[in-house]
Amino acid sequence: MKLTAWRAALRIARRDALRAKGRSALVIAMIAIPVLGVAAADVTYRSSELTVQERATRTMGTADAFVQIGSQAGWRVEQAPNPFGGATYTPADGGNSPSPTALEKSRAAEPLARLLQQALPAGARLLPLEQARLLPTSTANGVLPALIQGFDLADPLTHGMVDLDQGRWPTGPGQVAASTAFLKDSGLRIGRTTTPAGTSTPLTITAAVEFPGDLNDDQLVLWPTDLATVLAAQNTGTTGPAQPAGPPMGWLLAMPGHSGFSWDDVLKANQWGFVITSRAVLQDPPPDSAVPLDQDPGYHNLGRSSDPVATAVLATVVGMALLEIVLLAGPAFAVGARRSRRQLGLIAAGGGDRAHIRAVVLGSGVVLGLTGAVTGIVVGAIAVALGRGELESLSGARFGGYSLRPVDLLGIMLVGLVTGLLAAVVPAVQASRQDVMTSLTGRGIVKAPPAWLTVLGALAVAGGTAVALLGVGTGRGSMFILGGSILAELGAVACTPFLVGLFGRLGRLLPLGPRLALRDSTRNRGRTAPAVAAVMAAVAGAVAVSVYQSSSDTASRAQYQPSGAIGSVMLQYQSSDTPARMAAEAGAVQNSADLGPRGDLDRLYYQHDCDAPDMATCGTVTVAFPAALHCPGSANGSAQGTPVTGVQVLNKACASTMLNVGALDGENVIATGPAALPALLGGGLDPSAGQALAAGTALVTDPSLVTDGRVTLNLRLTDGTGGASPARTTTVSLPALVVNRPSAPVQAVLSPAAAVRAGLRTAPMAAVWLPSGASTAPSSSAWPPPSAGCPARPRCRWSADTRAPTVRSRSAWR
Amino acid sequence: MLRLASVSRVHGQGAAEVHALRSVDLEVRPGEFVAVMGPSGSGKSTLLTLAGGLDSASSGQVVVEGTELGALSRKALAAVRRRSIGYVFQDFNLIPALTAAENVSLPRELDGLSGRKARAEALAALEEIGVAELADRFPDEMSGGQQQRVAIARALIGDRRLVLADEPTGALDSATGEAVLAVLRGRCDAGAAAVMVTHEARHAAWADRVVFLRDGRLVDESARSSAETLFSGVGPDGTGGL
Ligand SMILES: Nc1ncnc2c1ncn2[C@@H]1O[C@H](COP(=O)(O)OP(=O)(O)O)[C@@H](O)[C@H]1O
Ligand SMILES: [Mg+2]
Repeated sequence: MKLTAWRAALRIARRDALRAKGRSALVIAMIAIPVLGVAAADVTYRSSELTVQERATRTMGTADAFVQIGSQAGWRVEQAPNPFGGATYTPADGGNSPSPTALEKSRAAEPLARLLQQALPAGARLLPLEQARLLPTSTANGVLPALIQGFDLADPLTHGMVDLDQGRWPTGPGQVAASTAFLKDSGLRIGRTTTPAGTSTPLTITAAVEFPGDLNDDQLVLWPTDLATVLAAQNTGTTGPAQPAGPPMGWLLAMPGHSGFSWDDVLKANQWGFVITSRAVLQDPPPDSAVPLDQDPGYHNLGRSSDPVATAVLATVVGMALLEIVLLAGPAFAVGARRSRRQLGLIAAGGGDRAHIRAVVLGSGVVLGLTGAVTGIVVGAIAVALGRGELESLSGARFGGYSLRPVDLLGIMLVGLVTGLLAAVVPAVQASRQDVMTSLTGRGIVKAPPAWLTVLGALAVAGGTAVALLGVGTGRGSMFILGGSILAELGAVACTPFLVGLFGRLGRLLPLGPRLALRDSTRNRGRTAPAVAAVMAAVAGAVAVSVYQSSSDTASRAQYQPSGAIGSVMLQYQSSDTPARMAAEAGAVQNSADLGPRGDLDRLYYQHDCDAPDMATCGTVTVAFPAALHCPGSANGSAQGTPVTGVQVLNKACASTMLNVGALDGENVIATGPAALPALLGGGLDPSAGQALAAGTALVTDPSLVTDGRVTLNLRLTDGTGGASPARTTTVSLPALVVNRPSAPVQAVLSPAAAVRAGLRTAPMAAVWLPSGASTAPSSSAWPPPSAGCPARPRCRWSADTRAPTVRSRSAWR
Repeated sequence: MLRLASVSRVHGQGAAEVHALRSVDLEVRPGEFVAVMGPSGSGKSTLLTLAGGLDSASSGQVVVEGTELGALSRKALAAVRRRSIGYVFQDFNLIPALTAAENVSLPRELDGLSGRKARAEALAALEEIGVAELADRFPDEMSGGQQQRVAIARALIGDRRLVLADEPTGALDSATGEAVLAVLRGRCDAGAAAVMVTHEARHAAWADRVVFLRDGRLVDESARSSAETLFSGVGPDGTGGL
């Protein structure tokens, strides 16, 4: 077909689009909206992407390099020219079994200052950036954990790492710069003071600052000597002697006259165990051949993996979304082609052949696709520009700049264009095959869909489903899943005329309005089919998602374990806390509100304390499951480390074998006195339970764990690497009383005396209270977390850790 | 220019079989203006669609400028329609999305002529018809008579020498109809050939020759002079005088 013919076709398509404004707007919107989303995402991503220099400035201010210790000072490291991505490798550390050379061992013993002196070029100035610590600090209303750092913000080397929003830089001890997020969260202002935990000197806030890479973090920048005081106070609070503060996080390095830190200097520093981020090297990276890391097979063997499931899901979602648009926009083009049937007939009568007719209909795909794509891109780009501030605080980092990448946007535009074109293909072919006289006279015949089409469609549905399931089964077939889904949906499109025809027979039963609509749909199956298939696929997708959602919801509910009764208050100690500190903490909580009598919970261990700092061996205590209660699919009853299936989640025999974090630090059996029982198990307990506990009987919350009135505890010694030594596994049997509390936080409770008599040891774990005003309902469903940070908000959602269930607090609803 | 040799056209099958044309012979020479008359359903439109290559004959031959249409591929047939034959229907002849000049130049552009040349030809064709001032108007900004004249211009653009007009004046008042016929007459005098279906004897009087169809059969042919005498007392559908 000649180019001028295309031009004529496009002219007709363009004018038609303008004449049928409503239909054009519909198609343009269908194409523009997804394009808008993608374009906005692209512009946001590209704008948030930093140039290496911008990143360098955020990390090292105006310094020439940022010096960090590799895995161990003195051990040789290999690094990428740009170590931002974490591309470093310590040969000595290679296979997780450290094997440093003699030289490296002797170097590691040397003081850090000497190592630095040898590793770095002469004359370099170093400004240490101390380790940041997350520490509680006082606020207008209480305390707030804040990331506390210490360096001189007035030093020119740090310029660019932190932006001054208001106020003036701290100039000496006693002054502090606070992030705007901290000021907002703490309710403090410039001029007010904050006191980090453990210290008594208030620090005056002189500056509101912004970390361009961490807009939302609560951060404080202390004067370096103030940070030292704070860290020292932290270290004296714990058991044992005060520990040194540890090496700094890194150093800002300035070469004499800012002459730059060369790649050779980097390689030399690597020999001594330092990883260098050098501005000069970032600017002008060395060739791969000069980078030992790129040559080291040990590093490459570590392998880098991407998540195949995420890729599969993404590819399927994007591919199916495109197909949906094609299927939904297709009927609009089909309607357009039908409406302009006489016009197409006139073109044919005037000498247009099939290609010309196709070109006119395809031309409307091009026109609308292009308009939709351009509209989407323009609106998306403008939206990002307008919402930049919001997006930055949402992502927590300032953009490097507003960046439009022509290649990206051109690609997105092409996708929009192709979508429009694809949607117009079938109507174009249909229109071009239309007989000229039929087009001109408007005579039309409703043909039954050919049987082969329906059969082919059914086969495609079956085959596509099979292919997609194959992709799911192998777990790494994103193309299978996408291809299968598309094949199945196109098969559904092919079947739909037949199905619509079947439905058409029901028309007789319907009142006039629906009957007309149904007849119209059956008469125009060509354009009904894709729309029906698109709705079908969308519904199928929604059903799949909601089934998944409700399944995982059910699993979460089944896995949920409360930590205590509704309304109870719990203070959990750090295992490193001294008894004096525990007492002080418990006293502080006791005095802060009218909580009623306190109960104490002890954790149990067998011979060796698992929470001791130098945990060489560890003796765990668990409740033994009767042999009849076996977790299916787990060898020797232990499913730990293997994937958890739905069956296992709902089977309580598996509960003890699964990683059980959340409720009471994962302890299944604890020691406590009768006083703590209401707070732990909920009110309404038979008083005899407390008496039995005091008398040395174990209280068991799950009847299936008790055989012949006794419960068995497994005592297991494991070595430091987590492996069990079977020879040192033993059991003890105790008299047991069942208190039926199916969703109690623990499976069994002993009195401390009974625990000791059974050969176990105890250590304080927590204090609990049940305030008299609190509901005394049994801890059957849910309870608000003691310090999850949202008790005041209605319907607050919380999650103790990623594995713990997310449950709405019932008491908070009322 | 145009020759039909024992052309028949059967629509449908079995009980629904309709013989729209039965063994029709007709020859139209360059410069000749032929009117086709006959009652409704007699096969007039069918005759024109077969002559114009829009439909194919069940039997017989249709020859346009020496080319037998039945032997052509679909593509070649479209090319013949593009280059040799122009169609004028009763109404809605023009593509609403295009201006008069664009409508006229469309067959030439589809044929691959550059936009500028096609427009020049279109303007010349409009000029010949005497409606140059309509060039940049859209169809809905024109009267019915103007639209028909533009359609005639389109039917004769480029090398086209054969106009097939199916009741071109049917939707016009009589004065406007006369003006349109005058245009057709003028083009035939300038060397084109025209076949026109009409119900009105007065309009048929513009033709060199009138042919009559009844039940798909060519029943009579009369020269212009005899036609004038013949139609002195005919009914509106042209049947009364036979
Ligand atoms: N596509 C078609 N299918 C079936 N019958 C047709 C078709 N086109 C025309 N006919 C029939 O052929 C006969 C001639 O029609 P036509 O040529 O349109 O007559 P006229 O133009 O003289 O009124 C009529 O009986 C008409 O019903
Ligand atoms: Mg007719």
